Amino acid sequence: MIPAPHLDFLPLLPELIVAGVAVALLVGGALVGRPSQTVLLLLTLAGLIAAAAASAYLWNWDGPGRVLGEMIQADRLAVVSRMILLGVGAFGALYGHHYFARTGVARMEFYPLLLLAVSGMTLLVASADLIVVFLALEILSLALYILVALSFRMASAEASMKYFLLGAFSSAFFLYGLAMAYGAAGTTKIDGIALALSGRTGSQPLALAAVGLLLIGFGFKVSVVPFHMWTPDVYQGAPTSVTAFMAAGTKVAAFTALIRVLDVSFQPLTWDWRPAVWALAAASMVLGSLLAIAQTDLKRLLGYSSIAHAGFILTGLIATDGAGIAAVTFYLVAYSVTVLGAFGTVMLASGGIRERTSFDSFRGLAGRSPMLAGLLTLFLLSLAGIPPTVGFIAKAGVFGSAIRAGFWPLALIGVLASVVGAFFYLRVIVLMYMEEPQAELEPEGAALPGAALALAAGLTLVLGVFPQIILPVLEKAAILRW
Amino acid sequence: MLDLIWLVPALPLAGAAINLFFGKRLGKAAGALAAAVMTAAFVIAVFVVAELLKLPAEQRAHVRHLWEWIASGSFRVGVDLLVDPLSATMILVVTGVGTLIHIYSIGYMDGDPRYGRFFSYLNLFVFFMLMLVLAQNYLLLYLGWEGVGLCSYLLIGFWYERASAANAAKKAFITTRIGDTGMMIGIALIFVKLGTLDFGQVLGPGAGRLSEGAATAIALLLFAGAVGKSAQFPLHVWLPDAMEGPTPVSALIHAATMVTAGVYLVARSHALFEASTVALPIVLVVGLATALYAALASIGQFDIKRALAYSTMSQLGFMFFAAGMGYYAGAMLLLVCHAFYKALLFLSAGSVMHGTGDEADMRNMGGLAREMPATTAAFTVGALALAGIPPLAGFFAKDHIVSFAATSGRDLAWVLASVGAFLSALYITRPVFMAFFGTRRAEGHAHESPPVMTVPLALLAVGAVGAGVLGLSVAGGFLARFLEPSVGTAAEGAVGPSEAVLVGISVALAILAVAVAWYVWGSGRVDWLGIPERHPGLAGALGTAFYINALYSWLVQFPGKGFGRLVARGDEQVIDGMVNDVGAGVERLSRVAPRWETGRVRSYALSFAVGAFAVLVVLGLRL
Amino acid sequence: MIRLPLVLFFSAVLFSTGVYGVLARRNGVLVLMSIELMLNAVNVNLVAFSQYVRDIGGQVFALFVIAVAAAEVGIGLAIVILIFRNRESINVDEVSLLKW
Repeated sequence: MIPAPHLDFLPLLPELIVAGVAVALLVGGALVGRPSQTVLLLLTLAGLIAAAAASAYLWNWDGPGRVLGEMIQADRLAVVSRMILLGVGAFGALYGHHYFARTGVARMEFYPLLLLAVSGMTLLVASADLIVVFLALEILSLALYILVALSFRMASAEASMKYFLLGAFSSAFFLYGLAMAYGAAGTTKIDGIALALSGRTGSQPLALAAVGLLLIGFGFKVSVVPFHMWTPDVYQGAPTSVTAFMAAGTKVAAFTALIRVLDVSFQPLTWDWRPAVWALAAASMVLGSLLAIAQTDLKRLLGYSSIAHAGFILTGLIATDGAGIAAVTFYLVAYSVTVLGAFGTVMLASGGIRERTSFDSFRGLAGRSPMLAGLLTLFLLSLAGIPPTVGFIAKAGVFGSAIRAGFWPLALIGVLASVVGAFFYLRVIVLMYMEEPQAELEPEGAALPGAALALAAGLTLVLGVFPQIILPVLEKAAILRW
Repeated sequence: MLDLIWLVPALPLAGAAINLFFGKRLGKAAGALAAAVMTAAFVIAVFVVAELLKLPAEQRAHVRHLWEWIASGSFRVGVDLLVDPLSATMILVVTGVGTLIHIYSIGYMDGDPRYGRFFSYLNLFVFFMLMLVLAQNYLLLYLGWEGVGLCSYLLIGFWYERASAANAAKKAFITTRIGDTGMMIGIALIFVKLGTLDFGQVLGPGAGRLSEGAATAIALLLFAGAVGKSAQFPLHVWLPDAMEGPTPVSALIHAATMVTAGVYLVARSHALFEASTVALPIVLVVGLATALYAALASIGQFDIKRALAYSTMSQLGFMFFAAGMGYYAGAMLLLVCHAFYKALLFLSAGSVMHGTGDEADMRNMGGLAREMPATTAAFTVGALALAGIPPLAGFFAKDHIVSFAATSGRDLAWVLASVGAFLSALYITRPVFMAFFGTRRAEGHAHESPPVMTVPLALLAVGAVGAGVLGLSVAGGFLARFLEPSVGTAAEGAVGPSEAVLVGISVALAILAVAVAWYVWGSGRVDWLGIPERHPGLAGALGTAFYINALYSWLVQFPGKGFGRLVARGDEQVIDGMVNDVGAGVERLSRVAPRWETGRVRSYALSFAVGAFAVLVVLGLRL
Repeated sequence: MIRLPLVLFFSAVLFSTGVYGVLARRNGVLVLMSIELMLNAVNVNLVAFSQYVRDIGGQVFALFVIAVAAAEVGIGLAIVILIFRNRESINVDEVSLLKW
């Protein structure tokens, strides 16, 4: 007789809550007919908060490290990343509520889709098996493809099509890599692969192909050069509230999973994958920064900036020790806070659903709305890594990790790319403060997104001055046990 | 009391925040508020320094640990403020001169539509400057360094409606950024080599552990930052243009404080510079070359503020010259004295512009002494102090440096420095005669400035007269003894002529220069207005500071243009100014790239596939 | 029994055909089908490895992939229809509003 396996669902509770609320909203929404947007928002937030509470409980989890047939990881890295992602989801819900409320057309499917994407992201950071990694990636991607198309602008549909075709294309590469890993190690468990490879029972060529193909798949999700082409188009075409959510969320989730894959599964091959990661990081930092210069649309600019930032984060990944992982996690927090703030400001400043996000619309913003201009300046300074913002601490952290691991040339490239970066962020600041307004746009004042922006701005400054508030927590989370 | 040091930067920061958010509502009170927080910061700074003086000399270094800033792995940086003689001197200068300039600005900026914004920026600048000099590690110093650059940028471009101001701001930011990048790399290198950025460890035992090559690289990279910030050759081109900013900004940032940050950096990091055999000589040569070059250029200027800007460059050159000889106390003495008399000169020039309806061309001035007696007196005192007429401040400061060159056996340097001193006296008495004496060469009535502007002038004049006391003594003077725990004493050899002979030569040169200036520009016997026509070559070379801007422009534009012609379709815009060219060059470069950003999903997939192939090849090489 | 390298080679060829299809086809639906081809190449791989290492996991995984691919096609067709309604064409090259 086969013994019934002991199933411990507790470490999966956050995902169950989020996905459960999503399904409930979907079904309930269909039954009620025309549910109030505010009720949907409140239910969404309630679900996210409940999931956060469940996730916080897991911080002191003392059960087995992996549950549900060793598919789900119950470690602190998962807890911390989940917290970040749930926060990002809450921001996305607040922004989306504002964005779709003013169109006058109720978009009730926005909330369930957002929650499904969040559940995919949180599942991704907690996966202990490449099968779960793949499923989680697909859950979040499929939800995002639709979210990107959720506006009536033609650009939105086009962005969705590009994201979908290239996303599916990259999924195939990812899957191919997964199959190679399975062939090389005989298992798809993240730690099992490491055991097989370090025991030299695995096959070297297959393992190398696996790590390469997986890197390509992840590289697409986090928009690393040369898999970055979709980023500016999709960031520009998607509704700004969705852009904010996906820019922050996808990076956090995919990079955390990448940490697990590179630092655990392929840890025995560290010296083999490092040159590839090195090249990808350098290319992203340099090209992302250079290409951003010629942009004339703020959302595209932030897209290129996101490419450069992916390079900076990869720089931190080169160091495989705990401090390196902590630096990367801190960078993810910093980037999420900043980019959520930046896109939020753009959403409020770009004049409603028509999305005037070209530079012309931002000329002289300081005169029309000093508050929004000030906020955007702060976020851009943080993206540029100018002290005392959180972006500076984050950059210092990842460059420090790279230097400690002996990769100072990469850190040097990063420093130079940041210098170029400061130039184009500064250009936007110049536009806002030192030029006369051209377009007659009325920036909106809105209570809910305004409060979210204030929170993001506060975190950008406070974490820049007192990063010690969260660094010890991140360091505790950075210890991977396997 | 020493632990209250955090209040000194915190007060201006609070002032900046209040003025930023409520500046409009405060109206006229914004200026008073900004000046009040500065005064409070100055008073606290005085008390702190008094407390420091009570300690025995060898214990005069107090670290106030505020909080742990970054602690990840072995990378630990605290927000630590260091009070030692060197930083004490700097905070007194910054808050003291800063307070006077804030008060002066209340009058000068009166009626400006962005009155509150101005004081917010000015206070923010002071905050970052204080962080720069109080920092106890290189990362915190870098925060201040980056911050003052940003504020300088905002303040130069404060009147951005004028295209020239916006361009000057951009030029300043980008030019100094070149140096800053070097400095950033230098700081990273310190961390690579020593694993810490803490002054106590880097400058103490750390510097000794460095190899010759590493020490040279670090020192020169840090010096690159100093060259950019302090407008030394070859990164000096931004400073004259920076005069587009409001005059109090020129006085505070581009004369008294920010530009001296480079000198402070060298003095602070002297242990690193001394660990290398070539670093200090390079500092010496760059300083001396700039001192001479800028002095000559100043003689060719007709814009009163540009003349003063070149003078600032020249004086900063003297400071680096002193530091390059290892005579840090001399550099610091000149820094302190220069802060007083150059602020005085700039503010007097501002008073002239305030009284004549923004006239800055000295050819259109002349004879202002009758209508603006107080301003004339102030400017003259400042000029004489700079010229090195005893017993004013500049005499002591400059004389110590020039004499030190002789007594330490650097004969050639001594001769060149003496020439520089002569030129300094010449270029600074020139505007006195051109602007304030002789006959009025323009229509219109000039009026004297209000007391809120002239009283700070008077106080600065007192400083310009009296600051020399700090250097008055046989054994190097009070300041040198005070600074000894921070920068050590310079090894002074007893070679060359005696002190009395050197002082005599120096005074004689200064008086001769004043006499020459009087003959050419004051006596009316030389038609100096016609010089540009009679000697176009000479006047052109001096007036454009030896065509350096044009040279840079050409150097940057030439390859950029050729490249642009290759890729862009007839994109022939005429751009002036070298920095715009750099920007344009990079922009052209990045315009090649969109060739593959076609917007077509299939070409994206193609680049994806090619990239994927490349990644697999890189990994395949590991087989 | 077919030897493993042969199967691997076959699936690599299948995968490459899919990549070629994505790059060469202008019709949105054909691009989708090419992507399906790539996914199925992976499935062949998974099942082959599953046999080779004597582990049932790979075949289970192949089932997952088939399910996910179905979901993906569903969404993909929906997006293609959205584009078609907007511009009466499913030529992916014509959708290039968003660019420099």
